[in-house]
Amino acid sequence: MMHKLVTSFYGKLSLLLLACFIVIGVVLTILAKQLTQTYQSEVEQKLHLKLAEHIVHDNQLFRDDKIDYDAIKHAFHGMMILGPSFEFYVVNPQGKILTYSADPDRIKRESVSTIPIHDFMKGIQPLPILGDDPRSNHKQKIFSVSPIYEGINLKGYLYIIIGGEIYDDIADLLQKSHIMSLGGWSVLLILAMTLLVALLLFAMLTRPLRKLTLDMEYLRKNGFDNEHLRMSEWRPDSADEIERLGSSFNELVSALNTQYQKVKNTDELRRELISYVSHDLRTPLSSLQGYLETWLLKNPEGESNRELIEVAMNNAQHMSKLIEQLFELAYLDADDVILNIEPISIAELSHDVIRKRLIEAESKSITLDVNPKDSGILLMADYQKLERVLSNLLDNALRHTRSGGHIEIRFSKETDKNWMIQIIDSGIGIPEHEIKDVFLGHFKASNSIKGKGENSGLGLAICKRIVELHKGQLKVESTLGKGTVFKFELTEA
Amino acid sequence: MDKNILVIEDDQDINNLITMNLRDLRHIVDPCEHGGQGLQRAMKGLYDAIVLDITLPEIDGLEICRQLRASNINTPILMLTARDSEADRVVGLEMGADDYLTKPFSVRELQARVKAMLRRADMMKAPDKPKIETLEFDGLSINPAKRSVSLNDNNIELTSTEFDLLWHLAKQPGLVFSRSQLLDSVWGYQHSGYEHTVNSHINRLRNKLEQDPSDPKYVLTIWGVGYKFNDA
Repeated sequence: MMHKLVTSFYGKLSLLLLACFIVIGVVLTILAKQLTQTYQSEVEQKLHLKLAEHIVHDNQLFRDDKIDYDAIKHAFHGMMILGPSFEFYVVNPQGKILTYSADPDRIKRESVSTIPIHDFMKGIQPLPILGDDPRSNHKQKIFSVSPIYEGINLKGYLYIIIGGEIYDDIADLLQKSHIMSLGGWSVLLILAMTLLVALLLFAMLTRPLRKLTLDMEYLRKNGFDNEHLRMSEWRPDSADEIERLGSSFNELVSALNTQYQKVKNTDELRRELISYVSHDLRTPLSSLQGYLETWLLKNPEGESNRELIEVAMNNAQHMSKLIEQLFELAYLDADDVILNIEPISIAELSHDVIRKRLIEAESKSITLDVNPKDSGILLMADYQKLERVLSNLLDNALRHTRSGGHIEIRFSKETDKNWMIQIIDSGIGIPEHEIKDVFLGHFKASNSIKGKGENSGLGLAICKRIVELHKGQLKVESTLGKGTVFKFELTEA
Repeated sequence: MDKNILVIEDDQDINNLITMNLRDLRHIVDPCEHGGQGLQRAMKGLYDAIVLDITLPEIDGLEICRQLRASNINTPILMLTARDSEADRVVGLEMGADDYLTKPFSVRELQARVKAMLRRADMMKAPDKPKIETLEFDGLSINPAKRSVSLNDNNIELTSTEFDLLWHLAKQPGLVFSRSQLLDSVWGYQHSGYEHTVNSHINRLRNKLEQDPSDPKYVLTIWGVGYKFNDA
């Protein structure tokens, strides 16, 4: 959930928006604080604009060119009653501090800048004008100032720092000022509302995008194999780009779907055609084979033209086998092949398959073997189909092994549940560049022993298909002149 | 032999071929090229065997088979099919056919199958059948009269051929039978090349009977020779 919030498009937009709002909030807060402080300073300074002038007017602070400390003390004392936050300084015309009301320990400066003093006296606007705070090395505060004359001679200035209630931080400000707190909360509320509205808007804007994404994911999951794909509605004439994108996507899918169905139908037709053709061929072939066989049965050995009929008979049988294979491959290619999976003693089945070819093998001086001879190894497979695989592979091995060779069907436990079945021959091998083609229906190795086509080449394609139906993979390894190994795996019962 | 055999096959050449070869065995053969007509004749129940093609116009072989059995006509039927996948339905689903042959078929095999079918029918009819006792082996009980098998008092469902195979092995425990011997006795074929049928039935029988089919207790393999029922 959290991950999706961060990685989804809407999530990213929302997070970005949230970040913007936080920045705006912080900036607003700082700005509010600055403004409030400046405003307060302005008001305070305005309020006490004439304070210094009044004090100077009411008290004679210099007498005979010297500071009259008594008078000053009196004046200071009088003024302190106004409030503790005022600090009084008497500075000379150059700004040097001559005397003050504050605690001497806290005074950090010896003089203050006279520029703000002159600005103040000239009445330069806008307020507040900030002057040096002697209690700090760098801070500036609002002040009130008035020149002190003795006669016509400028003796110095009465410099009053107006402390006032300057709020130090925003929390203080909100806490102490009802108006400010009201304003603060309002701003926060407006920000939150705007954020909410913006998030909703984003959600609304990105909804078609999410819809399109869901459509695409649905398609990827279900493929084109559905006759009626469930697609969302899009408006092709909309000005919204995403609507148009969705509409184009739908058209694309529908076009692909049509093509897919077409290809599928063609494939289906092809399979049906092969199935029908091989089916229809069986009837005339039955007659052909049957009459030839009958002739051979009725005419004793040594009949003059017997060979001719025997050749015809052999070819009829060969053709029959080819059609059988063609039909079988078409049948196995269909989607609805049903396997009758049961535990099978692989050693016994292999032994059986080998027994059927013992005579042929002996005539070629090829030895056949099964290893290990253990009827207890039970593997899950379809009996008839597994027998077909072993028969075809054994036939293939017999065709490609010269006399004196050896063929073995070997089993070995691969993993906890899987057994590897290998058909190993000491035959002529398959050239490396041809090995990838052995499972193609029409393949025949360039170095095949027999010139005449006993083998349609469909045998291995059938094996491959059957092993695939058993969720396995038929693999081949070969060394030219040394032999070939076909192998596949089956699960233990 | 002088058995009456009905051949229902719409292809004239194949019909002639079958008729000719069965007549060579000195049977009386009645060829028929129309399914409906064939059904009518078969319904009389006067034949000893029927050779029936599965793909016929109008009414197909399966339907004929079904109607005959529904009318309690139990004449043995050899079905001719065009593909192996159909064969499963014909015999496996107990459509009522007794055996099948896939086209194109060998004439010699056709003759062998018909012979076997007739022989089995004769055996069933034989009136002087000796009374056979139920066989008991260490938890396994085989009742030939009811044709039922139970293991530790649990009934076990076997197909007809599976039962025949088990019965044949069990009535002579310890005797080793080769595949072709079993094929001949149980299936009645003399034709070679079908030994794998024995193996697949032994395999299936073990899956049903044996507690651990990888270490069989009843039906044992004698490597390179065949099978025997455990006499120990």
